[in-house]
Amino acid sequence: MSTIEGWFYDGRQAEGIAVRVTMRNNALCVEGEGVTRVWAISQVEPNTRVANTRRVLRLPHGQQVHTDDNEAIDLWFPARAPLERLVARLEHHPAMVAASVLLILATLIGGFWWGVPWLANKLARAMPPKVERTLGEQTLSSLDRWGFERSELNARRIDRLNERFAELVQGLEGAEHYRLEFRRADMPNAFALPGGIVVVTDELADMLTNDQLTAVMAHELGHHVHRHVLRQVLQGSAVAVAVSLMTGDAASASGAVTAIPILLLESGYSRDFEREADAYAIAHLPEVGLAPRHFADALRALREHVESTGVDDDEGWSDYLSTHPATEERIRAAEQAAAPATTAPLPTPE
Amino acid sequence: MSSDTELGYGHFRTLRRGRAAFVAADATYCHCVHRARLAYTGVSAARAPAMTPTTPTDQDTDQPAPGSAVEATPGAPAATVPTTDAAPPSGLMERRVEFRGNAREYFNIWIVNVALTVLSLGMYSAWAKVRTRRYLYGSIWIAGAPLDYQARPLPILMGRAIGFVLFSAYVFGGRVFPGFELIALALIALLAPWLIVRGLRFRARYSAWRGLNFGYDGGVGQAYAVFLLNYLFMLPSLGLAYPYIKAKQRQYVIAHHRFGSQRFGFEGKPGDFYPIYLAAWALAFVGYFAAASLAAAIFRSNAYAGIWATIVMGYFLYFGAFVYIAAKIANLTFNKMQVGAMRFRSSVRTRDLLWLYIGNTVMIVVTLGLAVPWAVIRMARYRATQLVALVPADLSGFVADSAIAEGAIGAEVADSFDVGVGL
Repeated sequence: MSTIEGWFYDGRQAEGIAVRVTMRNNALCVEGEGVTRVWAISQVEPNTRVANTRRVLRLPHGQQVHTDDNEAIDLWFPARAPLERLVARLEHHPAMVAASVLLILATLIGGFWWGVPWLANKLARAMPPKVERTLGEQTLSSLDRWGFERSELNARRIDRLNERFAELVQGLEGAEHYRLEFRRADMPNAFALPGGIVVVTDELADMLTNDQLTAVMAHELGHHVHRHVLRQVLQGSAVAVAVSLMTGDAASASGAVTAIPILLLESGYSRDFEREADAYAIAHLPEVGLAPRHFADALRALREHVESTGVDDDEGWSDYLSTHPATEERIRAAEQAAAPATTAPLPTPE
Repeated sequence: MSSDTELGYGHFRTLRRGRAAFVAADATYCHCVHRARLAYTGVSAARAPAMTPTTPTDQDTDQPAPGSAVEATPGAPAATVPTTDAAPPSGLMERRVEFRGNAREYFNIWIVNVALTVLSLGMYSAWAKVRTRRYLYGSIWIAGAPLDYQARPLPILMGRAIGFVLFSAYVFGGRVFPGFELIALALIALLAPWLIVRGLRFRARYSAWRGLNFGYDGGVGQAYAVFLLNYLFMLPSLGLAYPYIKAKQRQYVIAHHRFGSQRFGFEGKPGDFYPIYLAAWALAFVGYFAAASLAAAIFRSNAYAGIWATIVMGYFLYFGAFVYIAAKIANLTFNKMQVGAMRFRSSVRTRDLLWLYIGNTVMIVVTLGLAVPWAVIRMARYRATQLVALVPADLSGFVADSAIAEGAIGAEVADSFDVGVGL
């Protein structure tokens, strides 16, 4: 039998009374100036322990006893809220805290590096092709409204490129839905939209030969085959939700704090996608009778354009921020892929 | 009290989303909703610590609070008044609000609960929230007794689930269908007043001090007026109605709180808010032009660098103005608020808050988020130390009110969407 100190509140007014609290014969006794009460232990509802914050024992009719003697309360009510008790013990245990730190770091790194891409890949492949095609058409029509203009390439060239495109998609699943579109924009560019649309701008077509353009189209088809657009959208959403949940839960997140990891992660993901699309182009160009070196040439031409306009830079550090892996690295990969056919295999540089 | 600390970081979000609107008239409601978060902290902060009267029987000796040893005798009020530069009204004792939490303890609780949330794939998050919030509330001592957070996790979990689904739909939908985000934001704006009221009711209902619960009884209709319709004044007034709107919101939120049956009062008038906002706007404008001309002079040969320098400086100016407003509004809120005979004196300084925000942000980024608990504690401690409660010697004037359980769904959905209580 032990006695602890506490405060009695009658639940009707804020003035508390200093009391001595005792547990005797399964009854809680409270004694203080003008107060002497006894409750059966079954009438007492203690809240759970959180570190050493003041404990509240709820009693019938809104009455409460508050006390700082957490140890005594734990002893008196050993069977209450076993789960939260366990949590309270974990919080108190240095090894558990260390394990939690490791778990969280591992989850963060593993989740963002493998978990999110894995999940997005599964979801993207489960998406009905019809939904994907609708998305692609909608995106294209909104791009047309936002500044794309009708292509001015001559019809013979368009036909020639369409033939090449048809060769590339031959045998692909859903090949009948794949289609090539030309548009005039302000910059040389080519991109894939969900559902099988590949868009090439006049400016890019003016810069490259037909062989090089075919290589670029193969790269864009790589984005399709691997469902990159959809995966990008899904991964971006997952990252945004996860980061804001984590930070929001901590009651601290802020745009400045969350925007940076989101940006870094998303650009990291798209670098992987570019590599995957490059690999696809390199692997499939020989099937239509083209050497992977055409892809390297196309990249080189693009890099020269970028350098001459000074819009981008390819410094080593920017590799981490850029959505495309450093162009030099990609050119080397394409040339290396071409090499084994003619010469002895080279050691891989990375 | 965690909502108090939320204020510390929430402003960044506000910064990002509200940047364009800050200089311009801030005419869109969406911006207003986000910007409202700025003031959110002030309100929640006000609510929680507001409840801590001290009893003369209190034997808590940790802190040499003036008046703690004074026996409250209604017949001798003079004896209970400690000498200070600004003597409190007679019959009131000056008691510094204390924050007794520490970063190490809070880190342990936080990290273990986050780990359990991860292991349970998020199911545990409501329990985690309750435990971390209970620690923060329980660490705030007003006049010899801590606050008590009593919410049950299960209703919070339900609200969270709904909030999670809505938020995911919002994020994903916005990326897939351009324009969807605007529609979603409009819907959120329409729902926001209702969510705000639900959130206020829930949090007040489950906050207690000295065995009495708080309460909130603001009506939904009035919430739509102050959180939605009032923004119609923004365009015609070219944004000058903004401080008025904020004043009305704060008035609505504070004056509908109760401690027991005792209603909160708020004497702040729009006229008290205008000098604060006008000073902040002037500071931002003048500072921005100064920064732009400075950048133009320094980077004369390089327009690109000049523009970037201006943008960066503009960002810091906006940030400075934001913190200035946060500090001044927090002080105004507490200084003009009363709970029965109880009053407060807050002296948060812009300079201190600025350093706290910068330090916390840097640490959180550098530690991949592991410094969050440390940052939360730092902010809560600072706010507490700058707050003094003027407490009546006799607390028997605070009496209970009948209690009604409130659903947590409103509160949780509001959290997910970051719809703060705009005060």
